[in-house]
Amino acid sequence: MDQIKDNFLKIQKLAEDKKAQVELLYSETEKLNLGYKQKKLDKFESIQSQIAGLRVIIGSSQGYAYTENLSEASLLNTFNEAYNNAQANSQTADKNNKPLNLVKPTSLKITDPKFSEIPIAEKKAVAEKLESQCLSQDKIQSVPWAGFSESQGAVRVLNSAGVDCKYKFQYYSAYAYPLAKDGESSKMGGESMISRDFKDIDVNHITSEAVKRAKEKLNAKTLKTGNYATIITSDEFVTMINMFESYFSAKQVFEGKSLLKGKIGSIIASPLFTLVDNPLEETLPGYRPFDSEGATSLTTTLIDQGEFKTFITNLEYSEKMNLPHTAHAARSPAGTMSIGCSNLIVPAGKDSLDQLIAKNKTTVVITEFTGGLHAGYNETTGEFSMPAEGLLYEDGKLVGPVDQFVVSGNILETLKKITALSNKLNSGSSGRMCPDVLISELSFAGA
Amino acid sequence: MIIQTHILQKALDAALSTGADFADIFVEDTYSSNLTVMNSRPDKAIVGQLYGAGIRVVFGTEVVYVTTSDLSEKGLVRAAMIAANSQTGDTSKIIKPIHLNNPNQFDSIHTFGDKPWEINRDKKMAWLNSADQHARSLSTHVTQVEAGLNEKFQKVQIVNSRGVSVYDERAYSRFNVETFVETNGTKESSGENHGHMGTSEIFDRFDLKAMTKDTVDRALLLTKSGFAPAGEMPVVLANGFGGVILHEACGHGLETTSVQTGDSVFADKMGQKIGNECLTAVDDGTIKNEWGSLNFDDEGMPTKKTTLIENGVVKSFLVDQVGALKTGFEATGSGRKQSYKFAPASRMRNTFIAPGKDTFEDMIKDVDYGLFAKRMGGGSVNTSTGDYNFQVREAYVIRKGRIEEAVKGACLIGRGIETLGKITKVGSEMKMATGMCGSVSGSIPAGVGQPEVLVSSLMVGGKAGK
Repeated sequence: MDQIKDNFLKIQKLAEDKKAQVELLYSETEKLNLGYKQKKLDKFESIQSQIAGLRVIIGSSQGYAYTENLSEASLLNTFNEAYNNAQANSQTADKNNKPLNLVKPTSLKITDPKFSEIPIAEKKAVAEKLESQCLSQDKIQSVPWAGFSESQGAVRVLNSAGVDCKYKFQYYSAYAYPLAKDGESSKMGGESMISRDFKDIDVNHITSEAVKRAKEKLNAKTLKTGNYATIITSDEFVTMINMFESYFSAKQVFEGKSLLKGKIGSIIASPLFTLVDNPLEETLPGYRPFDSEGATSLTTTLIDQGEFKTFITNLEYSEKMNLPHTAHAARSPAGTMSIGCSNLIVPAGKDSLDQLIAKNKTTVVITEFTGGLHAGYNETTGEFSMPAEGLLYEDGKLVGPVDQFVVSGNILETLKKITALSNKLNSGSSGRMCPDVLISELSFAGA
Repeated sequence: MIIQTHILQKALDAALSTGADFADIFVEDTYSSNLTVMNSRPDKAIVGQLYGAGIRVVFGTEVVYVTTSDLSEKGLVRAAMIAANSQTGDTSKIIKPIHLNNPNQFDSIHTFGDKPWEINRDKKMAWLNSADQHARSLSTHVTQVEAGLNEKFQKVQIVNSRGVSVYDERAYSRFNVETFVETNGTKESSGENHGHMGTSEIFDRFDLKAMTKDTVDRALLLTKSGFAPAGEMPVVLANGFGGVILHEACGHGLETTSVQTGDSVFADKMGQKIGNECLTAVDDGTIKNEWGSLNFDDEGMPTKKTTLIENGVVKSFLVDQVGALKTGFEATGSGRKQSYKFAPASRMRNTFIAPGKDTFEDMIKDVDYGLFAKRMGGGSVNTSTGDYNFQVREAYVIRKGRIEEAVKGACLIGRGIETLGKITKVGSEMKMATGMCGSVSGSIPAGVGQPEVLVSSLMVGGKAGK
């Protein structure tokens, strides 16, 4: 019995009677989170959820509603809520707007992953080791954050134009953030990993890298204010990508919020820099064979050797702005329609990290943006002033760790200042895979 | 009541069936609504329902949490058995839960008007449109206005094996405006919000136009501002959202979630003097209709007013039930979470620096060169190192005791305990503000507040250099 389909057909009938179009986005997730603290199981969470989100279209207007109660009565009520929202919006809609369309069905072959059944004892053993292996290292005082997660589920889109597509996913992830202490100095470092195969979760790599990163920050000195050649490590360059990825959205352009408006075909980055969105990369968490409105996914080159190639669109903005349809509809069942990237990948360069460091007399390697994006990024202007920690190098040799400084610049100007990329990519656990990036100069405010 | 008590009793029996020491169940049925206006037209219009339960089982100090969105008896008992079977307890000492009564009737400390679904949608759209139209009427440089109204009505039912059985209703409403401007090719934006624990009829009385004007004025000011200076300097923090410094520098570090494992820099500071006499800090969940207030916390305990720091001395941590178990401190009614999908953790409610005796003028006149942080942005803290940071959205240089030019792009960084020790003056005009706080148990409404405060030295990060 396909209860989702049965209920959708009833909703579709209601929609037809009201001369509306309807789309249902359904997701179900089972997540297991395990964590140890002080050698005891500290976290055992089994989170199960299912949710249906409805989008109703009347002319050029849309209304949304969602529910976690999947009974027929609840779903029909949710349709009415979404319909009422669309109906109310349509009363004040611009009459010049073109009617919106739903994605039409295509032949899409999807190979679902075979879900593996790993005994709970093995999963607990991984979680336990993430803490114990860190604790066994010199100068590690505690491990405030360490854990293992298993996530599996399914996403399904049905619409009144005939689309009914579904894919399943399963991921394992692990992370460790140990706290190192030496005298009065305390610092935290971390590493994480995601994989579709349990066997690929490399606890030894995670713990050794996390411990190394925590210890190398100890006894940091203040950094003298000035301009420095800067390497942003691959994990931290993810933060830089997050700064500008919304600029690619055609919706952001339409709303006057994108700094890339009118720049297709322009050079916006160093010729060394290429950026690709690949929703079909199965090993990364942004994998989706179709987007949130059921359009078949495509790989899209956004920046090719510095040249800005295209905005990303869903069906609505592709038609509204006369742009290619790139199948980047992005929404959760509890959200409204947006446009977003999936897996963003920056191809690697040729140099090792040591070779990047050796290219300048003085180099600051940023190892952590300590406040993340919300600490000092202005999306409207592209300006950033972000607290960070790092390592100072002179003549290719490590001088020592530095902290309590702020690094400033403009994100689009920074992309043009890229002078080299390392030959090693990060794990892509956030859906953003990139190498270490050398920037000719950034402004630092410290002591 | 969401679920019949006898069904929850059966689920508790199941949760304790393998020898656990404690179990509780959190059931939720939440209605939410989000309306926005963009391009002077209705944009987002979404309503929704969260519906599920979280079952927590404690074996010694080990905690298991299982959720389900199947609220039938079968679904709840199945989830309880998953939790019970996840650990091997002492089956020779299986305890029976105390018999549950129907949820206690209580007098809510909050007053609510019409529920979100009872308020006419046209009225809500009128509030949003008024903000949009007012912003556009104030300046021809306004290029975009985004106005939104978020409403949430959460029904919760909480029972535990010690006999707690409560039902509570919580309403939240928040109005936000973000204005985008462009002058001579320079783009800027500024946002503002107002919210409370209560229903949205307050926006009939609240001055939305004044709030909207603030966003236009600030965005235009930013287009004319130079970049903030950098370096160590005295900083005067304005009242209201300036209290985010206490939230980040101190509040998170006093939550037993980080104290109980010794990870917090405050873990060994109970009873110690860490600040000046002028510093008293409070976390209060009992303020009527305040953003972070509750009748009961998410573990079914009545909330309290908790003095965290009194005249510079650490007086209390924020303690949830598991924190009480692990630290021995009495629970403070601070167990909170975003929804049933998160296990509760000790979290802040409304956290503020209590009013002092200093005047704003005195604070400014004593500063030779420093920063007046008038409007703060978001921040974050690493409770294990105490390192925190936050953004300043509106700031002015203080020069020889006078507030002078506006600057942009500043952020403040420091270490929690060091910063608290540098608070040397506390003003008398307390003001509260609303924020959303993200942590281990999700994103929750948290009130922050303070009077004006002088920090004698803080690291300011700005693009202009020294």
